[in-house]
Amino acid sequence: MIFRATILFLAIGLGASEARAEGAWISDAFGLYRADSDAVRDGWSGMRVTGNDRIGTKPDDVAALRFFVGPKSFPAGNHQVQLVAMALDEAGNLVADGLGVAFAAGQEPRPTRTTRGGIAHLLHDAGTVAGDYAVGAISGKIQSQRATYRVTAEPDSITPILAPIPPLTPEIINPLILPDMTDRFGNLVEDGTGLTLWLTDSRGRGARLDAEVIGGGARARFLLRDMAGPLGLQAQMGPAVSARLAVQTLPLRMQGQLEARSEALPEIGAERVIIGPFRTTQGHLLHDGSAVRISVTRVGGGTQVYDTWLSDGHAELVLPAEPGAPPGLTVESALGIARPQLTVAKGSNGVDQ
Amino acid sequence: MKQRNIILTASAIAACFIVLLVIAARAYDAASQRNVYFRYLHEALEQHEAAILPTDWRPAEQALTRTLSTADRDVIERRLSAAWMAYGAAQDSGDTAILSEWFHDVALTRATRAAASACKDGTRMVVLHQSLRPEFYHLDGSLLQLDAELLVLRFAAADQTLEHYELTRDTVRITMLRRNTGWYIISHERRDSQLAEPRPAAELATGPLAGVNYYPGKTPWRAFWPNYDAETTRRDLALISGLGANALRIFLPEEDFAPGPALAGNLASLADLLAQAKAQGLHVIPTLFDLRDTYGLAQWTGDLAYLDAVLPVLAASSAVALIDVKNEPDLDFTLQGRATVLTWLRTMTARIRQTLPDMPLTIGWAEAGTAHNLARHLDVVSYHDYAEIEAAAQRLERVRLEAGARPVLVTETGVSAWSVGVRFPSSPEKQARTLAQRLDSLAPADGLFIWTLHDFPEPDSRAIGTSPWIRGLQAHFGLFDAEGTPRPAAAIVREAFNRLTDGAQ
Repeated sequence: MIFRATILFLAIGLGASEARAEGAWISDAFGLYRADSDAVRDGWSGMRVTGNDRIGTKPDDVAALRFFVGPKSFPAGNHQVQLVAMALDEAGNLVADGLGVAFAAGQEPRPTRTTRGGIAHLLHDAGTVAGDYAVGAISGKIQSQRATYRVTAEPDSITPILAPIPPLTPEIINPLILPDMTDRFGNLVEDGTGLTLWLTDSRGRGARLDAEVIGGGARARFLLRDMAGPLGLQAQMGPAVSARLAVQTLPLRMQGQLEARSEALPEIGAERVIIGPFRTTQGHLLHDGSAVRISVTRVGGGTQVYDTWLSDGHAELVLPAEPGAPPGLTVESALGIARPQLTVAKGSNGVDQ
Repeated sequence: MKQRNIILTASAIAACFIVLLVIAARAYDAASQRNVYFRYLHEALEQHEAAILPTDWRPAEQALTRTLSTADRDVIERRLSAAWMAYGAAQDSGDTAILSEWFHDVALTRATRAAASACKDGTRMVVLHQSLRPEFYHLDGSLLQLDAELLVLRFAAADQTLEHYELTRDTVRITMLRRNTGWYIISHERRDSQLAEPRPAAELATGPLAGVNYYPGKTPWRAFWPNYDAETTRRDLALISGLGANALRIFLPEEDFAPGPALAGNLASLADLLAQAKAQGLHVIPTLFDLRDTYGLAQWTGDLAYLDAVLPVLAASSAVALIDVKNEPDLDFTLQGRATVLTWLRTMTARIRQTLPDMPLTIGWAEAGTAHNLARHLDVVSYHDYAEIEAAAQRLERVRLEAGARPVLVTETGVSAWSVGVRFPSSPEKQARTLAQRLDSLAPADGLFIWTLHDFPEPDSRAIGTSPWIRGLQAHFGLFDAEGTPRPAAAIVREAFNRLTDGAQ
């Protein structure tokens, strides 16, 4: 049942006889209005004054509960969330002090608090289990809307851990997947949590990677570039740093067979040997200036070693022209050791030499 | 016959001279006008900093779940100030859409309804001071409830009539919600209300006051306080004492005593003047809000800040005999509306009385005919007498009747000694004669103040305008001329003052 209590106080202390003479103005929280001119304003709770009369209008019973919960997200552990219900009557007035409000926060029996200034509130221990929680309030038959808060893993108690990972392949983006991480309460780290991976090689080169937790484990992607294994990998989350993990890397490999051909240079009694292309398994040419050592072995003769470098993916040698079978070649490069078969290009007279 | 011709010729020459003078005056007026071109509208508008309501904070009665920091308080103060400023603007304009920037939920509904009603009915509600106490502050800082004591003015003005006036100290409960765009009032409920207009209870204990209105001769009006010189004050107060005076009336322009970089220096100058007056045995009537000509609600917060700045200095000096709340406010009735002016005066009077309950207050009405206004809210009735001299005694008698038991002071009267030639329009001798007659007529007053001690070679155009005729008259009201030589009127005034003060003994 809705009822409104209007209490007419006798003038005490106002003593405003002049106000009475000035007409039937009513003052309320938002100003002045004429008596009998606005029934809606008559329903606003609180103190109204007209002449010597003080009119106190009490609020009705609760008709709506506005619900607030916060903080909305916080880590597991020793934290509290505050549940707040603001109780309003049909006209939007804050209800009277002393109204009981029960809070539904997963507890039985539901804790009850009373209103003061239309507000009832409860400090609730958020617990140690990560997850989304729905809470609300009830007063009589009036129920608030549902509100949620979230408990996440406690980042301060998380130390990243590493598990062995397969050797890293050069030239491709290697996925780095770390095992699931949990806080001291066993809560998986939230998706989206960031951590940092540090990679160093034996020559002191380093790389910093930003990793993101997905499904409990951190993930990152890494292009090996010119880092050579074995590498040292560490994960850092806040001040916590994992133990160092050794990670192997695979060497670069030659794509197919290395080719070699020779061209006669009769004017100077020599032949030019062209070796290449030096192409990786991913189809990329080895970069210019990359060192190449070529061992040339003559039939019945000795072996001579030449150091050169690549240009446009090829290495060149100029050797004295010698009759007989082409020499054997052994080529050492960043792509490993190869023994290409030297083919002799046709001479300018159109016959094989 | 020959003598008659000479008189006619002299009259013709005088008439031609006056015509030429009027033409010259109009030409000067026209030349004084200036056109200023602005590229954008905002350049032409006077820039105002957002005013903040005078605010104090009381400690919470019970522990809050979240500490309300100093920064939080600062933000809340500003937000509430802006909300009530917006509410004032909505009442004035009827444009209630702006309220959604500060009010939400039930409070927005109610503020919108009430502001629209206020605009239609000619009522207004103005919050003048807030004393805030936090009652509840949500752990996550999103919901705040305040127990507030507000000094609130509600009035209904219909053109020239103040239909209703209600200055109260309201106990209200304000609930605020912080959203992405700031704090919003979501509930505002009045829980209690007490009238906050103290009744006059102070008595003028000085006996009859005989004095002069005072500016230094070379730095009158706005030039006074920025160029205050203690030695000049010492010499001038000695001159005033030498006239047999026991008081002086001074003016405190709002722009010199409002919070700002010049305030501290000007307050120190004011304290020095009061100390020197005390040492000379002179009473002082400080006149507040001088050169203020607007009464818009948007300015009231600044007015209160001005009072907060200047009243402590006045309260600290026993030389201050009474305070004149405003000089000649009745001159603003036509332009600003009588009801608006009276509302402002009544509110400022109440605010001063709340701070200084034992200080007699008056208003320096420009005419005897308006001196009845607000008389029951004042301790002393005062007016200025420049009207026709023959009726001066009757005017004083009528004001006395209207004032009842309150003392009646004539805080300005005087005669210009300016002569453009052939003792026209006045002369030092005519000044003395006229002043003697006027002072005789006003002798029954409880106080007489002459306008003014000095001539002002450079009168302030903001105070008196740019008309050469008016400036000529205003520059020569002094009992002492520009060279510091006493005019014959000085002796007349000395006699009148002696009669006034001796009669009281």
